[in-house]
Amino acid sequence: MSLSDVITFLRNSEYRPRSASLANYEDLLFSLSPPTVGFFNWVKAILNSEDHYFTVADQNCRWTDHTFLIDKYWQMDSKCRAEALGVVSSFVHETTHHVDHLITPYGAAFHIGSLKESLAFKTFATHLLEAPDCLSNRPLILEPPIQCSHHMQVAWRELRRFTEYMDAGQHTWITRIEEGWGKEKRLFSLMNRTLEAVTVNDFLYTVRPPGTTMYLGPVAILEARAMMHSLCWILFTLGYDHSAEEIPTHPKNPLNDELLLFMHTFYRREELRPEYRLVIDLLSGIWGQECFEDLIQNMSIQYLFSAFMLIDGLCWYALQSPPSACDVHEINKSPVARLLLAMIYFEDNVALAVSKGDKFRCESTAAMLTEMEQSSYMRERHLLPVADCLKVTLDEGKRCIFLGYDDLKVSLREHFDHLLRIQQTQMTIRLTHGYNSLLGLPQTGNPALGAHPYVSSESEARDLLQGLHAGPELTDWFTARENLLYKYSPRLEKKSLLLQHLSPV
Amino acid sequence: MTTTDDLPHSILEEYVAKADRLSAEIKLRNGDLEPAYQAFDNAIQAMERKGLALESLVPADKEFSLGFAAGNDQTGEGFWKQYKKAIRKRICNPRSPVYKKFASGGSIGAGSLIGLLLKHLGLPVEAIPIAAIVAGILSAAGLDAICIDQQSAPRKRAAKKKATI
Repeated sequence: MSLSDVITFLRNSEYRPRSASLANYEDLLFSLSPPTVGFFNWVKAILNSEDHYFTVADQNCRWTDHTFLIDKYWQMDSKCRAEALGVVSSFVHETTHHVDHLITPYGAAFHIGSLKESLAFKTFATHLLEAPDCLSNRPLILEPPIQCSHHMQVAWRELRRFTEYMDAGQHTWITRIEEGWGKEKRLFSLMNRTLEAVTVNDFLYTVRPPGTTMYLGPVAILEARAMMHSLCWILFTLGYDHSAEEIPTHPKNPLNDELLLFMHTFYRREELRPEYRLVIDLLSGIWGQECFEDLIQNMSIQYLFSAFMLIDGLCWYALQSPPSACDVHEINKSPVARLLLAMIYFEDNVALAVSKGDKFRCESTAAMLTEMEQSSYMRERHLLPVADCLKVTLDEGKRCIFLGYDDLKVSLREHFDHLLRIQQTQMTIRLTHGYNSLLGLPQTGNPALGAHPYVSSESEARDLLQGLHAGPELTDWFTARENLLYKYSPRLEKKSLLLQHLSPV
Repeated sequence: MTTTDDLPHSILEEYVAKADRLSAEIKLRNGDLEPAYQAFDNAIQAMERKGLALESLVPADKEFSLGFAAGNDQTGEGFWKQYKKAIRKRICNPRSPVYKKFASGGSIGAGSLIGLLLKHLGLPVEAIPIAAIVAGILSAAGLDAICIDQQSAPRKRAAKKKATI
């Protein structure tokens, strides 16, 4: 029960995108120090919460709205305050991942890809179970032996088509990262940084800091948004106000220091998967800062909140990328290409103002993105308006629902059906609002506070904010997928998993 | 090569000797696993040089996830913490051949465990350096080295207390 326990607990808490399920926070209580437990007892009392563990509702209390509560917060030492910040921000972080996978074209592309991969897996498994000699302890992501039938090779290649797509987002041990774009090696400068062009799995054209093994992919974009939302919510719950020129704050504890406390506790570069900080460190360059912590230290809170929203907004723009089957120019479908082009646009337009000494402060992130979308720069590069991206994504989702997924087991079929229908509802709502979304771009950073206009029932709210309920059959299948595709394991175990999850319905 | 039968005898002998030496060293240090962590460090580097991804050896206990602040521990000690948790189900099942071997009593030589571990965990023969280290640990510390979840023990104790929130 100490800060290190909280760090360990939160490092293991996670969002599982395939099953669309959130971590269980019931045990978090046992990791907290007694003063932090006491603090959250007060939060619960103020919310009249009767739950004996943390729930998503506990994040909806803005501490600064209750003088007594905010005083209690400042009375705690820095370790306990870091614990408290970790607790509230982790909820916001994981909810952001969930919302991103439910209301954006990227999320639709992800789940449609997951559905098509499952169907292709089913076909491949049928061939494999008919020819057990082709099954060994090797990961199925590796090509079947040459002596296996032509049908099996064809089925494997079809499966590989989808796994390669998913794999580029996941960055596994088999992900191929090659220098250059179309074999042409390139170095270029973006946000005052040098970046190297790389191609991932032969299709994802992206960049990386030279000499590193990471690359700018969907994980980096999703993590940057989740971190920005967490930081915005920390600022908001501790007293930031959009309309105030001066931010009321504790005389001895500037809010910048609380953000740094949070970053130094949970996001130390040397302890973190490198993708987490890629976008935020890169974008700090737009303000001439070496790294994200320098940005926090050197910028006033009013402008810092805007900077967070700008980073959030650029990543939001990136996620409006329709599924690969949609008949639109390829550049629209890559979240990475969208982000890079948006960064170049802002480097040209915002960095110029910053270099002149003007502070950039955006009034509305959605308005900023609309302005960018209407620029000749974006139109010349074939980037479609967001409404068009949503429309083609909705059409592709409808096509998948119409085609059905009868070959899959009932639990998986119901899961995809439920997910695709939530996405249809949410993206239809978004059609009339463009980039504006209180869920996607929450004004306080907290998606839960922006959910009301988008839900018409308790169950819809639960699905949108607390994750879907993933039954054991579903979680077992998605775990089996990892083991079958990517891991060495005994041949008999592989056969048993295939029979359990992919045998004829 | 898919089984230890395909492995040249001299190489197998080399790893049997390494596993026995490691086991003796751990016993000499009263169960301190530091020599094993160092051996994992070297084995990880050697395997990566040969193009065998360490990640492909560690069974998954969940689907791919996006964490709040996913860690990046690539040390030998970090690997062992993750690996022993991942293989716990397979090793600690009373029906597993490794479990049965220990249950039958008597002292168990590290060398005799290598082939059993490779087969039971479905590892490729190229992962023999890892299997030899695990064999050394098991031979010195017994099944407890894997089957007792030391990290969750305090939490389970805490869970018994009445929740204060």
